[in-house]
Amino acid sequence: MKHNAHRLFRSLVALLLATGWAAPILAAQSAGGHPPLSEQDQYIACDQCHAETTPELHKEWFDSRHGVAMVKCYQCHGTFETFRVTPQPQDCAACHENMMHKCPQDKPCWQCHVPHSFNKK
Amino acid sequence: MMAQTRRDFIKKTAALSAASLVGMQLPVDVNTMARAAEDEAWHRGTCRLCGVGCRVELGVKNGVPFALRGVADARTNYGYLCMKGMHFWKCMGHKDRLTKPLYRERKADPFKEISWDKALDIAAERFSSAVKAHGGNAVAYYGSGQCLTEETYLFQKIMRGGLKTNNVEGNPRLCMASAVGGYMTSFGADEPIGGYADLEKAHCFFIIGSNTAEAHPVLFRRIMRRKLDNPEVKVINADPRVSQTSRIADKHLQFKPGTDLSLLNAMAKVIIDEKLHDQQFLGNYAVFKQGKEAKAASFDEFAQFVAPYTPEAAAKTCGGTITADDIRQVARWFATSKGTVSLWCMGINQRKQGVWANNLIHNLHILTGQLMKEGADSLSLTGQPNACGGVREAGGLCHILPGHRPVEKEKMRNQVEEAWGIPLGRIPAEPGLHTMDLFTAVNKGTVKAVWINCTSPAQSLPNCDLYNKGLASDDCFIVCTDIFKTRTTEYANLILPTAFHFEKTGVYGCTERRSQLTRKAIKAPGEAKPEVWIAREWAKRLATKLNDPVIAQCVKPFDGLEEDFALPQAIWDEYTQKLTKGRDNDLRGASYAVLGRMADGVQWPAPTEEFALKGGTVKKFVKGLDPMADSESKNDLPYQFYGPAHEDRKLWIWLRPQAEPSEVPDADYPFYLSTGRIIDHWHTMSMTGRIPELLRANPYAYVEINPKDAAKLGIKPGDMVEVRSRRGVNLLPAKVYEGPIEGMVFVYWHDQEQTRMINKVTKDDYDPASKEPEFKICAVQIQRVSGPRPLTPFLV
Repeated sequence: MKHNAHRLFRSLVALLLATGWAAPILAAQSAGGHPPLSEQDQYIACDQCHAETTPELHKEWFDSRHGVAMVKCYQCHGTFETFRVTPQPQDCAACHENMMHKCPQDKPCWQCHVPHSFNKK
Repeated sequence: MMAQTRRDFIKKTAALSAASLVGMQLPVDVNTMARAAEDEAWHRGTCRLCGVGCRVELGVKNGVPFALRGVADARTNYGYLCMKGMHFWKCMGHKDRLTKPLYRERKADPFKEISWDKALDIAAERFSSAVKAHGGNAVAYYGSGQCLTEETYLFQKIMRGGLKTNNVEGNPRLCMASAVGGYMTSFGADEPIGGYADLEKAHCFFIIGSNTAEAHPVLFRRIMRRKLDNPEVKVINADPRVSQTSRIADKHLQFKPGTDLSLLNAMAKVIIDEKLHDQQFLGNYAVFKQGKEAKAASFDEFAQFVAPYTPEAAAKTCGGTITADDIRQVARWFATSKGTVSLWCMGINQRKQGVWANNLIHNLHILTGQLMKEGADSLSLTGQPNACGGVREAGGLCHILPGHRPVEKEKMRNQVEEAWGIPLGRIPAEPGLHTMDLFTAVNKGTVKAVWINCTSPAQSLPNCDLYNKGLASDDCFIVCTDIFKTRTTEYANLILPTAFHFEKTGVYGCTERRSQLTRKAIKAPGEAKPEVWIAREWAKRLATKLNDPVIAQCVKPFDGLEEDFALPQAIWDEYTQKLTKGRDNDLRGASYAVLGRMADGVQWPAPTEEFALKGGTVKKFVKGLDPMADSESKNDLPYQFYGPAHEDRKLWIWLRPQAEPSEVPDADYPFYLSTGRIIDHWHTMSMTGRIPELLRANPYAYVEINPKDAAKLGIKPGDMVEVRSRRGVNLLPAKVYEGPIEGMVFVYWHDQEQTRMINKVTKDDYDPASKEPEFKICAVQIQRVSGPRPLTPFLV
């Protein structure tokens, strides 16, 4: 069921791209990054929706050390006004500052610490 | 709660999910990220929130804070932060900050802005008139485990030495008083023997009455890491509610609220029956006690006492999922591991039998010798960042003076009077009103003026509507010092705007006896002032109005000192050098100069600077590790229990029976209600509710209902449910969750909205010894009212 929904999304975006409908949607997102939501919807916790919308990703996070330790989505990705799909290394630095000096400087953290399981490759 | 359908929402998000799958980069707002660029300064301090004592650095650029990050070398958090620690800088420049003194003569009037001069004069006038007319016991100070130690110390000095009242209390009465009582009666001294260093050496964790994952997240990380890296380490989680903490448990013991005394006694019985107790340790260091008079008992009498608590009997009493074999298993793990650390919090403390529950955990450690060695400790988790340092250690409760001195002992009062240079006999001999009696006295009209500092009792007291009646009365003059409006400032006559964390300098002492310094890094907004300045200036006016030079004497050492650094430093120096000298919390080595050089801070006792710089005492009472164990040594034994409360210098094992909570379910009110905290919010949410990331994670309280109960009551997720007790009612959305045990519901207490304020429903009965209320257990009715409704978060 979850797997089918995932494939459905992929097909949907392919369709959107093919028909030129992607551009306006992406333009709307580029202002903040997350699809625009009503104020009411913004009061739903990230993981509540993402357990359904991105279930594999959610499970990966939930089972990871971040998930067990309750490091939540918004700590890396921000909230709506500050949303970023791809956090910067400086976001990781809030907790992992010491690794900024120990780890290679020429690549972002997640190249080795793959989201959302964060296991070192 | 969703107002649009899930289907609509999912359609909208499809494109975004797909975008990230095909690797598209979307523009990013960098304004709120932690940057390591030039022109930035990082200022070291302690987190403003819970009792872990994470060390943080505040990033400031051009006088404006922009981020927080952890300090990697700090022995509390090793660089990690939870979301509250990451985001609390957003309170600093918040538009809702109180910036000017506000006053109204009657509580129905609107507030008017006034000058500091007028405000301090009014505060002094109202307190001094009350004292003149009715004596010192007509006024009170109600402080907080979130005040800096310097603030608590100075206020209590003014109240006791100046206004001659021991009506000095604080909100740790509501959370830690039972832990204090437990430590004092079991070990003879307050606060843990060990500390966090034991976590990485432990082989067994017994987590009871604590949702560590949410209430002490950065400590939980250390336990989680220990467990994940060492799978043979055992984690036992005992809680009527399955929580996020349970995820790492090898065994989760789910029992009916209030039956844990049976569980703990049953574990003791197994330990004795299977000869898992440490006879040598018991022989050298322990005695047995029973009853109010602390009558001596023998090992055999203790064994007889716990004999009825067979695992079978206890499993029956506890109900839930516990079996007799579970009890045997966890008792064996506890006793036989190379090092066992117990951790607990409000599930044990906020109980009618709170002190007893604490004693029974300590019993297990004493019986098995799971103390003193690396990886073994009986570690009460402190909820607030400075309940230990400020309130418990520096005289912030009605019955204790600074330096763990009981106020009832004349010798102790005289020591304090001499240190303060005030006449002997000045400090009243009787303890003041404890918190619940204090607010009862406000209700009765016998307390005429209260100073409420950095806390919101209008929301945080149990059965809060009852006490709000008194707070609302014009018979009681109320001063609130705070940074934001709260449910309590709604009852104030005078609101004084205060400097926030990093806007002033001072010390916090955390769970593991570690005092840590935060220096002022940015300016407070508007006319907000640090509390130490406010208290000093108030006291000078009190001295004039009451024509009492002794009041002036209380603040004379601090007169004229610059308020950002010199004033708090002078207060800290007086407290540590004069009041902790020779006491079990000796902090003479922990000067600002020493603290300022450290990544973290100093665990007392630390009588010298040299010792303090290394970090202080990792394990109390151990020769070679604790300088006082050496200096107070009476014999050749390696452990010396010199704590002030046990003249026999022994650890006490207590004979404590199972006893019922104050109110249990019955035919009319058939559910248990338990309350607690969740990770994204802090207390009454005046800070965290103003941070969008945190508010959106949990915008309103809900009622957690077990799926079986929900099915019986026809309650679906999101339905509006009435939670009603004999005292009050809430209307909350339902969260159907395999969390609370069947027959129990759970609600968090952060919500300021009147219909979701769960303390209207809780019961205000309290432990007769510690006076700490039983927030954790009362009886309620649960009834579905309607389907989901759109809800709005609320802040005063």
